[in-house]
Amino acid sequence: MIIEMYYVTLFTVIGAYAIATLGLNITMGYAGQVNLGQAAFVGIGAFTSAILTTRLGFSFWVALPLSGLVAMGIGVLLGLVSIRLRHDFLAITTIGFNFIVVAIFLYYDLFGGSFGIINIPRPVLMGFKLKGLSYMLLVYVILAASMAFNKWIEKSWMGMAFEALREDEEAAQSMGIDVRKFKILAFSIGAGFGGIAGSLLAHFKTYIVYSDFEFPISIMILTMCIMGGMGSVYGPFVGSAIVILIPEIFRPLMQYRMVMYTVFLLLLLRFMPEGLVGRESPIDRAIRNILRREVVKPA
Amino acid sequence: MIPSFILQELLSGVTMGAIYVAIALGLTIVYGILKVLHIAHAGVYMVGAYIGYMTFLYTENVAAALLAGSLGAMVMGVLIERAFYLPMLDKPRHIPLMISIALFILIEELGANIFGHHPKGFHINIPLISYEVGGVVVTSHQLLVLVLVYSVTAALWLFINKSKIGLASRALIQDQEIAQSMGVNVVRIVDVNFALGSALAGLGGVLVGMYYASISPFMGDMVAYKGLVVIVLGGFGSISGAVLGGLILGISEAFLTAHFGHILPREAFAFIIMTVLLIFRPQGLLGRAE
Repeated sequence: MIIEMYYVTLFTVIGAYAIATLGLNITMGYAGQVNLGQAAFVGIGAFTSAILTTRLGFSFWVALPLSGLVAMGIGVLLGLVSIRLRHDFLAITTIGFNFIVVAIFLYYDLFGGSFGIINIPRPVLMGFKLKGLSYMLLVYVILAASMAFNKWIEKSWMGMAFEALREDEEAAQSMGIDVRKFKILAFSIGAGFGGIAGSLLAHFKTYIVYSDFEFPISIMILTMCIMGGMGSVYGPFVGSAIVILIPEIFRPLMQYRMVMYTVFLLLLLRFMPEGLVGRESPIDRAIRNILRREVVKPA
Repeated sequence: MIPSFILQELLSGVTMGAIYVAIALGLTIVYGILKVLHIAHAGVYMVGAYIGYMTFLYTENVAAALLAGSLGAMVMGVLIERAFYLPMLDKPRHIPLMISIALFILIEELGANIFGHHPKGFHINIPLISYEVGGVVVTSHQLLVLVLVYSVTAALWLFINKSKIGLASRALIQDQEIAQSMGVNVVRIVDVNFALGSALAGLGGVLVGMYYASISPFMGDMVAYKGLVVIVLGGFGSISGAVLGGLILGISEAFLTAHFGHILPREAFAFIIMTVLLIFRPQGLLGRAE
């Protein structure tokens, strides 16, 4: 029973982070806009949901979409900044955004300061309190819907505009694509997914504090995105599972756990920078090689 | 007549700024040459501080500690460049950045495991004397930081602007391929620049340890991301910009915390200053528009 709960907990967290990573996948993987502050949006969603339910008495089912919307709204702000800045300037600004948001969580009482917010209620569906396995199911239903939405974006006109933006901004502009509009869209949609993931995490852990959303968490989400392969719909889930399960494997090593984890991360980035299942990744190349061999087979 | 408390704040801002300058010079040189945001620089800075500290324990000599810290940091910086940056230059820009952040976390974690999590006292044998000049109090340790950092910065500026290697470095910053076709040995120039930048970070680390009389494995946290703010303020890749950026950040932090107290922590201040500036001048203060 305890072992089962351990896996349910792990996979609930994996699912929630996969949703946050799907958001980053839209901003960075599709539209090519660097965002090193996704954890800030997860935090914005988590605190919005926590404040709405504990202080203002909203139900989880209202707070969940609202937290996504609030994160989207703040994502628009970052999108506006991204119009002015490019590449490394944008990367550093998003790092800074993460620091500023966390500082606000820590310094203002609305967010519980260094104590955070406790007793965040669990969602209730038709008189049935969702926790454990049923909460995990809820997370995976939302994850599946998010993946479907990602797939839809990929095929839509917006997805093509994002791709044009990623490959060559000037060329996209000269083809009549409104670069400003799509940059803002890329940031706000990505942020919205971050907010939803934050709300799901808050109601799962029932306790959140500013340090849950610090800059290293943004790096963790970005690692998930890269591991799974940028611009792939299934990648974020694979990446999230790898990044959360690997430290669990190293758990017996106690204080060297973080060391092993970063060594693993460095080796992956150094020797497999395309990720495991994304475009141009080793698995992707292997599959295409097999397919090609079948096609080219001499008669 | 400017009130003396403002001059006092200015002095503490300039001292803090000197430390930011020492870190940011290395970052800005590395960025200019390789276009990599070298976050692990802050890890090199921490290791430099520990090497300096251990040297001081053995030799009781401040100059030896400063020298050893710089040399150790220099070796480490070049090793990082050879192992992680040079082979990854053709990958998307966020890959070297991620590698750098992961390296920084790794160096910190290893440091915490090897040297212990707790800060260590670093008490040098230069007596702490206060001098009063026109109502402003200057300590001997402040003078040590100010004189060393700003003279090393001047030497570096001369080196980059007057020497042959400096000329090759500037050529590399402008256009790597053309510099190469003119006979510049790219790998060697990159090595030299990394060595110089890392030695400066090591020097900064030892100086910060001496100035605050304490070092910790997590001392790089404060400078890791603020160093980026400094080079952004100055416009990437320029030495005078890094000095200006370091001074602006040091002085504005000193004034803001003195007059507005702690509305937000220092890191957030630094990033707010940077974001506001970037919105009006996206190329930094001394950078050229694209």
